[in-house]
Amino acid sequence: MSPDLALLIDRWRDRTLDPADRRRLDATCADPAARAEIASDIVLQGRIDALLDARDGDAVWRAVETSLRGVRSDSGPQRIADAVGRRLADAPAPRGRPRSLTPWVLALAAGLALAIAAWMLSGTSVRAEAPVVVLAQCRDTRIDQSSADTSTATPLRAGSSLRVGAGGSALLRYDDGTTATLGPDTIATIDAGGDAQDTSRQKILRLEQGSLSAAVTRQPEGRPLRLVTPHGEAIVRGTRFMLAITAAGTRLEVEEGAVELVRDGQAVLVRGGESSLAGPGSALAVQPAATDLLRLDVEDGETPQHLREGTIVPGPPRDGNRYCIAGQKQPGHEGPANQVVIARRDQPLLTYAPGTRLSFDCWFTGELERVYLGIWHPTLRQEVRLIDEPLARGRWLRISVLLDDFRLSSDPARGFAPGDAIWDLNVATSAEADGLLYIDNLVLTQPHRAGDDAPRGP
Amino acid sequence: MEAADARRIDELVVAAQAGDRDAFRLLVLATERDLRIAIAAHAGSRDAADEALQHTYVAAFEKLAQYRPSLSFCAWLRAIARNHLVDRWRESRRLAALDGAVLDELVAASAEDALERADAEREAEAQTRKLRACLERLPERSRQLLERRYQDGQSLDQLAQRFHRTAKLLSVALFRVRQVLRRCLETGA
Repeated sequence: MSPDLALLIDRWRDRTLDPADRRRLDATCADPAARAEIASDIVLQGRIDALLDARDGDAVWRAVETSLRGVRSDSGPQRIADAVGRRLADAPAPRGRPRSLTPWVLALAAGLALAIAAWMLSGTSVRAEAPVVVLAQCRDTRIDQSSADTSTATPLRAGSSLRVGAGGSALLRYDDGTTATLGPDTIATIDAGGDAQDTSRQKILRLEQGSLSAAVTRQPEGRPLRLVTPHGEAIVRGTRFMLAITAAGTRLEVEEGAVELVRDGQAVLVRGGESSLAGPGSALAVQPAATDLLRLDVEDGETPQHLREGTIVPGPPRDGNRYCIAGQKQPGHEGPANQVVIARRDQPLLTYAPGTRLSFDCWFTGELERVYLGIWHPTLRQEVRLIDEPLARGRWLRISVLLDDFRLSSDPARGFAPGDAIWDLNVATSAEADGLLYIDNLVLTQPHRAGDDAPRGP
Repeated sequence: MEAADARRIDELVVAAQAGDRDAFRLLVLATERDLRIAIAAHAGSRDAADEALQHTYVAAFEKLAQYRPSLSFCAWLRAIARNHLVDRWRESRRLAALDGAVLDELVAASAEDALERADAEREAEAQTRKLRACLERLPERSRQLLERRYQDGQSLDQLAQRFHRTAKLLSVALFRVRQVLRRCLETGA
């Protein structure tokens, strides 16, 4: 096995494998000899992990015990049968009846007990309330007012509430493969419809504030996933989508599939590439999800007219990509170590509206570096920033952020207001770093504006 | 597993089936290490192994009445774990359908096969004994590196930050230690 392949396997184990590396790893698996080597290495690493794991059995029990709160076991059938028998045998004999009936009562009790035992053995036993969803991964998240344990997956039952902090996120995983990621500043309650003991109950998520993105597998007929927000309800049958609660209402963007959005008895079906807003004072309508304001892929090798700082270079290799933008070094400068600046000469890049999104591929090196994104605000005469700490260095990573989340460093309560002119955009690494920065495939999108196209009503 | 251990586990199962939660706690303590070793070999990561372990015991608790003492309790737990792992890998493959996720399917198949075999427990025990001996023979520095990665459960990026090395360099170092272990397992040397 080559060191490169070993690195890919390590990344796979750490769940930090990017899509291009995953494809390389999967392609390598096509070779039977490599497959055997990879499988054997994964098994060996698992065994080393289990052997060296320093945690004791009590840690496992504590995690299991937490999951078992409120769960009753199927106790032995004999115990139930005994209990029923005891109850009947202890019951006072009805007045006026001859005592000779007691053997009949006991016989009836025994028969009933046997019937219950047989019923339980047949698999239709009394079951405990099933967990609705598993909190698989999280950061800065509280469950029912307590800090969530980030080291173990936590089953959640109906009624559990989640509060994700300003820098947090939480990944929920349902039994059928459906996943939902709660974004920063989100408050949500887990709920479910149907029989509390049913393991495949209708999924219900109540979102009080914040945002979520989800990949929903096909839901059973008549039991769609329901997302309830203060402004309405999204009914999901199987799709990828993003939902955010904003000052204007609940905004739904569907990437793939279809989601029904319901408000005050009115409903619209939002399909892939479309969006809709459920808010006070606005009728439900479907629009294209987003309009491209700017798209830079620099694949022609030419310097785009909006690129004010940065140079076009081949950069770190990637399948299907020839060029990218290299950050420009700022020697002796107290600001960023190297940066890319995008700006128009005589007019703003765009006018801010809630939901404006900036996405780009990023590659940078250095242990101490952070990527920061800054936008000059001409009215406030300050830079509005979003510090981003990507998980990966030395490989391509897609960053996608909402301009709604940019904040003034002098006043974190303030960000952009609708109508603000945005003149330039600055992607840079922090001052102390001496590494490299490359960016590519930069896209600025904005939610579709009313009037751009005729919206499709309910 | 020794016959005495097996008898004790059966006694604990009977007590747990009768509603004794402390007996179930003792069952978890008595079986978790072996089950972790069996699961971890096919889980792909420590987090996934933890999740599978937790899921297995919760499912076992909920289905305790269905367990028949004619089957080994550990084998029953492994069957629950195997089903969970196979489902998880398939789910992961489904979610990553566009990328192919051949590796996830490969690990799923390996887990299904390895955990299903009748001699799985014996084989895991034998491999674990050998591996323990091989780990003890490692030079101190190699062992320390392994401990950081596996005992503390640190990711490659966390290690790289801690040791001021690149992730690739550390991955190569870990890979070489695993090669030494592999040779030791194969030849006993």
